[in-house]
Amino acid sequence: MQAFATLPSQTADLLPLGKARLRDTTQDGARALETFLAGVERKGFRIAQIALRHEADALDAVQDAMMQLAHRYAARPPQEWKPLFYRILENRIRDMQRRRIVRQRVMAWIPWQGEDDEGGDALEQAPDNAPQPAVQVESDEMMRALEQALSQLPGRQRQAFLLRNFEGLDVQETALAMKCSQGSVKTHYFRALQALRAKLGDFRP
Amino acid sequence: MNVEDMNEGTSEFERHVRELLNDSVEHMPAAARSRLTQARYAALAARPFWQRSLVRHWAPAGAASMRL
Repeated sequence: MQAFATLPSQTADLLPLGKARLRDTTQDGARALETFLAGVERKGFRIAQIALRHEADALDAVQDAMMQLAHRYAARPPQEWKPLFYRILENRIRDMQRRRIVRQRVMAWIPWQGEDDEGGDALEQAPDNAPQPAVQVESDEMMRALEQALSQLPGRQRQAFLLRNFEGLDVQETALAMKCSQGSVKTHYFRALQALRAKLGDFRP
Repeated sequence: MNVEDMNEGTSEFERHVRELLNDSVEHMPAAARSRLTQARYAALAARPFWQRSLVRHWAPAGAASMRL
């Protein structure tokens, strides 16, 4: 009887603790997702930028990928987030590339397309003429050559190469992100590497 | 050289490419960095309500008690 009498007070002690722990779990989840997104956003942006060759479109693609991941897959185990994020991002990149092709075809049929509409926002596309140190210029030239070579690769080869070499995913994670077998990842990577070597030759930063 | 050989280790060429790409990430323009930060917060806010609240944790307990 004595034991039962003490129960309510024990429960009262436990409840706030339990609530606090649950709140911590929810906050931990949000913090884990934020840390993850902060860790992948820049590389994701560069991957999108190389594929799309357009900064604003690349930012949109990364934002969409982050939104989709947070909205649909935040409850998945954190170790699954990276391949999922890059799969979503690649899908967005492909959507944008397809839409761009359609827009180009449509624009080719429109006789009255004005010069004002060509190329979008003139301010965004204006070249940056700020003077740069010689080393930076040399590095920029190499970067431009590399970006061009990467963007000329077939989509799957570019994806395999950037996910493995740049993002540092292993073969298994890359296969998950690309929704293909590990053997295919190795083949795409091998071909991408061969093509890049052929294009860039003796390439040294 | 075959696929397996190429995937075994990292060549000097691959290391150079990675260095250059990593360098470009580190020297990303402030405007792009800022836009990415905004996008990240927007994504976090886009999480469904049940993931953002305690409902997620209390719902199974509620369902279990209803069954009893």
